[in-house]
This record gives sequence, structure tokens and C-alpha cells, in this order.
Amino acid sequence: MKLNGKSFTHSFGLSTAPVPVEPYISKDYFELERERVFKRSWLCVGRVEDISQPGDYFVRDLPILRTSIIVVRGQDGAIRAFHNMCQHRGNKLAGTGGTHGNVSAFTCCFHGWRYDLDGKLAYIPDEQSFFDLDKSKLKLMPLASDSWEGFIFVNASLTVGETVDQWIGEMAPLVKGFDFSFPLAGHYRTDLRCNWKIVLDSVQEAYHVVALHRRTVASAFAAKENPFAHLTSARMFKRHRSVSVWGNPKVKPRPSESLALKLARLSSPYTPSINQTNHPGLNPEQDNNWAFDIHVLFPNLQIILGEGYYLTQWAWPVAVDQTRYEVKMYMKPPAVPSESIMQEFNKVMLYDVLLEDLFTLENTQASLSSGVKTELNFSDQEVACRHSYEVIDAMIRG
Amino acid sequence: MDDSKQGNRELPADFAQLGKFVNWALPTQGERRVKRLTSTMPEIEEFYAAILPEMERIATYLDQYPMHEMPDDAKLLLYLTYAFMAVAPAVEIFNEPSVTDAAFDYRRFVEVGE
Repeated sequence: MKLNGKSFTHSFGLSTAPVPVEPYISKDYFELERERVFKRSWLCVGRVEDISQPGDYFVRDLPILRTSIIVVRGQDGAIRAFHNMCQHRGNKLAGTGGTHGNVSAFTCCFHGWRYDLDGKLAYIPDEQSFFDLDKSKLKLMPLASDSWEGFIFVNASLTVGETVDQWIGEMAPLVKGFDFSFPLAGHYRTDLRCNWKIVLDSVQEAYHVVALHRRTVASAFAAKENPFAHLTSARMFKRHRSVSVWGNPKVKPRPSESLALKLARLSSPYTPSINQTNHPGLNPEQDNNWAFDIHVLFPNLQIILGEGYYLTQWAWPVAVDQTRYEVKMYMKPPAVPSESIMQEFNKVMLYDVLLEDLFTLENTQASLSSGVKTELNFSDQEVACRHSYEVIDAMIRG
Repeated sequence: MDDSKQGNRELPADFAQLGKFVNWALPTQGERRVKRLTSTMPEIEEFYAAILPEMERIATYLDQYPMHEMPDDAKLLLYLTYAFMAVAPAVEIFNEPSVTDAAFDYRRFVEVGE
């Protein structure tokens, strides 16, 4: 229930019936997600700051698209994405996932074919030994790419129906204009033996906070007047969704946090009472005792926006029961050294809390994979998990 | 030439009494975490108790420098405050070095790019 007693789930016209376990464990369902969800969606793969100079590039392996991509900023400043594949015999052109750097051209290590940053094939060693080659037809194979508010998106569909602007749609006012220029302060990754939706579901509800985070941050998000950490508001769109998390104004900071707060005018996700913001997208329904907003950009990116910081968390599907989880924390640059001490508090706390979050995911997958249980029940507070299920399932069936 | 650039591991003179903890002054979050997790609780508690009452004085001292122009001895002091934050949950929450009971194996949750 909403704090004022109305059901989110009913108000968004979603079902209240149990949802099947099948989408979390079925290989067939996973293959349909590959073809009908991920190959037809704009996928966020990074930030424009990651490749700020002409020639800057990064490689990202995208097992869910069965490809590896190069994202590069050209000499003309434009950002382009290509399949990381030499047009000669298909070798990976620029290394594997995680590779990044600055180049003036891409040269294949196998036979030395060379490509300009816009994908044009520039040089073939011993070209005269080939038969009837048309170099203009041997460009690097592009994916549609675009950026929005500094987030870089790619789309593997050959006939992209929507621009990124249209794709973001109703989510735009919540995100647009946020200061995303904050530098990267923490970047963590792990490979999980579970379905990607188990990861995503875990970061789009606050129901788990009281139990799972009982030792760490539960008291920041639940209190006598809101004992089960009910959301302050929720928004379910065509594909994307957004929920806002209640913060306990009377949370008693521990000594390290008291110090951190005293040292910095920056805010902490764990001390809601100091979160005062003028950004129009934050705290969209202007609730009292607001902590932060959780936005989920369909299909697999969660963005937390707070005052002076933001987090991005990705659940990248690898196989039906394998997911690469990646989190990046960005914080306002510290004006003075003491503010960086506050940020260190935030980073340490985030890391320890995420260790708690990550704990349940593989155990859940192991249980569900038994097939013994066939249905799950989502509460009204897990409305985002249900919305996620319904949107994906409609695409699978559609 | 300033000898502090030659790997000198000395804290600023005002904080010489914290010198015995200089091995906590590690530059990355990952290193500080490993230090926390490979230390005993008595070691952690001793460090925490020594730094806590000094934190505000340290912060005032550090703020005389711009963030990216700190001399090496001040940087060491800054890393000590980061290490304080790194061990704080062990003392204030878990009462042991690691995130207890229900926690993911930290060795699998790695920093990228450190």
C-alpha cells in the first residue's frame, strides 16, 4: 500500500496474481528475451565522459547480443558503435571487453587490415592478391548509437523504430537536467550465477531493506511511522519505471557518519534529512522524508539519483543463470580534502551494503532452478518487479 | 628536493603521535578493505579509537591544501582518515572485520580499474 492507503499495483492497472518462475529459469524464455527484448531495445553502455577525446574508445562484450562492440569517438567528435569484428576473417579487432584507449585507427592484429574511426576500411596489406574486393562494402558493421543526457545507447536492431529520445519518453523529466558531470568515485563488478532479473528485481524495491539490511542501513529507511520502508511514490511507464524511497528523518547517525556529515556539505544516501534539493526531477512528488529516487531504464539499467551523487547499476544477461553485475558511483567533486572523507564514508557504506544485497541472489537462483516452486508473489511494494515482469512478458508473447 | 617525494612515510609533525598507524595509510579502497579484513578486531579497535578523536583536527589541517595539491605527508594523513572510514563498519556495526553472516564473498566483488 501507498502511505496514503492506495495500492500502486491497482492504480497502474497491473495484475495482482502470482507470477511464474519460468522467466527466471527457462532457457527458451531467455532466448526469447535475447531476440525480442535485448535485440530490440536501446541499451545503455556507458557515458560520454568515458570517451571524451577524438580517438578514445572502449570495448564492451555483450553476450546477450552475442557480440562484442567498439564504442569510439571519431575525429569529427561523433560517437559511433561497431561490432568488434574485422571484415576480413572476423577476428576481434580491438581486444575484448574492458579494453579501452586512444587510437587514430583500428588495425587487426591477424593480417593487418586497418580501419578509420568512422569504420571505413582504409588499408589492406597485399590488396592485389584478393579477387574483386570492393573496399567500400567492407566497412566495420555499425550498431545504431546515440547519446541522451550523456548516457551512450546502442541498438542492435537493423530497423530501429524509435529514437533514444522517444525511447526514454515519459522518463525524461525525471532525469533530464541532472548534473551527470560528477566524476566516477567507485566502480565495482561481479559475475553472478543467477538470472539477470533476479539482480534487477533486487534493486527496484525497498521491501527487503528492513530484513536484509537490518544491521546496516535499515534504520535510515524505516521507522515507527513507516515500519516496512514503504515507498513514498511510484511511476510505471510504457517500459521504464521509477520509485522513490522514504528516508527516516530521525535516523541516529553512527560516529563515523556524524563525523562525515560534519565534515561535508555533501549528502549521504543514508541520511535523508539533509537531502534538500532544487533539481526538478528529484523527489518528483515532493514527498516529505524523501531519501532518493530509483529509476529503471528498460531493460537492464537502474539509476539512483540523489543530491550530489548518482549511481548506475547494470544487470547484463550472460546466460539464463549468469549475469554480470556492474555498479558505478559518481559523486560531486570534493571542494576540499575533508569533503572527500565524507565521500569515503559513502563508498565504504555502499560497498558493505551491496555485499548484503548480493548475498541472496545466487541462493534464490539455486532454489528456483530446482523447479519445485512454480510461482512467486509480489507485494504492492514490489510493484516495480511486477511491472518489469509484465513488460518483458508482453514483448515475449507479442 | 622535498624528501617526502621519495616514498617517505612520515605524517605531518602535528600528527606524529599517529605514526604507529601509518601502515593503515593505503591509497586505494581495495587495499584499505583488505587491510581491514586481514586485521584482528583489537588492531582495528585500537586504530579506530586513536583516529576518532583526531578526525576533526585532521580535517582542519588537510583543508589548508587544495584537493589535488597536497604534499605527500598530508596525503598519508588523508589516507588514514579514509582507512578510518573503511574500518568504521567493523567497529560500529559488525563487531568483526567482515560483513558478517549474510554477505557475499568480497573477493568476488572487485574494484574495476584500481
